[in-house]
Amino acid sequence: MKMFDPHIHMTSRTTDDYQAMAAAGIAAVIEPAFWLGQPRTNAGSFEDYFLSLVGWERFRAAQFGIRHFCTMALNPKEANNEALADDVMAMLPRFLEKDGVVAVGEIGYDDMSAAEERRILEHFELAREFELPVLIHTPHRDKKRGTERTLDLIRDAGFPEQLTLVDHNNEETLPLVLATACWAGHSIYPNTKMSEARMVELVKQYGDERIIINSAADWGVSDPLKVPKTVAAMQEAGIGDESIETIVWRNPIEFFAQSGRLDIDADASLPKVDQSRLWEGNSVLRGQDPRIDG
Amino acid sequence: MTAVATEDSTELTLLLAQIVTGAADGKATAWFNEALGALATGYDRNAFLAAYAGADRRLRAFDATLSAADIKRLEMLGTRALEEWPLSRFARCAFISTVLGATPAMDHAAILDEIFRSGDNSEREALLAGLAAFPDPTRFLETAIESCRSNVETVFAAIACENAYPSLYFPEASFNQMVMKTVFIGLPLARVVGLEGRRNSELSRMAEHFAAEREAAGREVPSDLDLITANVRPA
Repeated sequence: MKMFDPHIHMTSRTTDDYQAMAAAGIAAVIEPAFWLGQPRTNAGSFEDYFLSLVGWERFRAAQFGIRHFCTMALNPKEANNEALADDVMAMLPRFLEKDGVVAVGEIGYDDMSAAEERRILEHFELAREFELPVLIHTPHRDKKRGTERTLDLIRDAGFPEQLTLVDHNNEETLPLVLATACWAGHSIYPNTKMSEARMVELVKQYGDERIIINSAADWGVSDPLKVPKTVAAMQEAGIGDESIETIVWRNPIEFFAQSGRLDIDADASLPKVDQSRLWEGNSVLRGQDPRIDG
Repeated sequence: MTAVATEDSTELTLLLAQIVTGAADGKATAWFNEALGALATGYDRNAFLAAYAGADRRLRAFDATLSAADIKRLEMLGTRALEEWPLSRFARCAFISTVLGATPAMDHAAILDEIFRSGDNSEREALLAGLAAFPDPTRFLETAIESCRSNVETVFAAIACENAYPSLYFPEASFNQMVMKTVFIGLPLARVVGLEGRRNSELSRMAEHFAAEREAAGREVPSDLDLITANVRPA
């Protein structure tokens, strides 16, 4: 089965991960811009990070036959550093113009501060200007209240709900999101956000409409194979393949194709795996024979 | 091998713009003309870099139709393989040419260097492929030499292959490094424009050492290496 992991931070992952993901059927990924685990000290760090998302990381993914897209934004946590945030917001338009940028994100609340809220609204304006959907992170702490406030903010700002993917849902927040026209993402994590078994129960209860799953794998304890593992759990639980494919392939494509930039149906032009290519002097290979698909 | 560099960029802008508007549909043409018009009236760094980045997405559906006169003129300026250029590359070069006409000459090298530094691959390639055509091209030598350090094959090839810039303007040491890198990553030496006229004894020595190293390692020596080892002209 062909799968899409529409939220994964590949810059934090190894080539072993890429290899395992490709072997498990993951054909495309979206890497949302986020924070680095510690605060950045200057806007130049954002610039280099954004460039790596459309440069080196895209090339690395292609070497394993995986299509790599990204979303660009100032992340919620660093929205609280006002001076830095001003510089990053000024830089975003020229990155939102770049090829393969399929949404504004991830944005949203972290502490639910006034600064975070102001930046969310500014991102909505950028999304309108660039005709892009948005990917919204929901907070870890006070999650239900944070999700309610997020949905209120979308409505009050008049941002189109069908262009909004509200991510990291759980049993308590999913019904709130489905009551709107927003799409609902679920990050399947080893211990915290959502597990395979819990996700199976949610799909049984709510079906497949506007439901999306991802691994949200990053530099923390996380698993880049959670999408295929959840597929396996859904199959074991007797959920039909048609429905599973809707969740792990058709839904993310339908949502992000609203950008007009997700040329994923050009499947025939999927990059052939060619590990003999180099990037900025760095091969992803260290001595082993390159794999080249003929 | 000579190139006739433009005195100013007006003629180049007009030529490139006419190629773009002759191929794009109404909507893409309107976008291009508006961006070009804005750049002509004043330099806004973010607006320029955004228009430059967005050109490929807006123009990728269209192919350039080039007249023999267009090709002749652009080849005189040092560009090559124009029939392989995506339309966005003509548009991006038109944007650069326009900005060069609307900004003080002392800023030009920094403006072009920033395009290289902040671009994705196709943005970098467009700049390099057009580099020889812009006024007083030696000003951009530092960016051109820096671009040879990229091992993204398409970016490196945009300066090293089908491009007269290196043979026209590179100092010998940089030219030799570029040629050896072309060999090293397996691109055919026949793609290096003006190689014959820039052969030198140091390049020949480097090629011979490369061949010896390959032979010692039991690896293949590229068959076109004799283009730089044999019959070297006196320095």
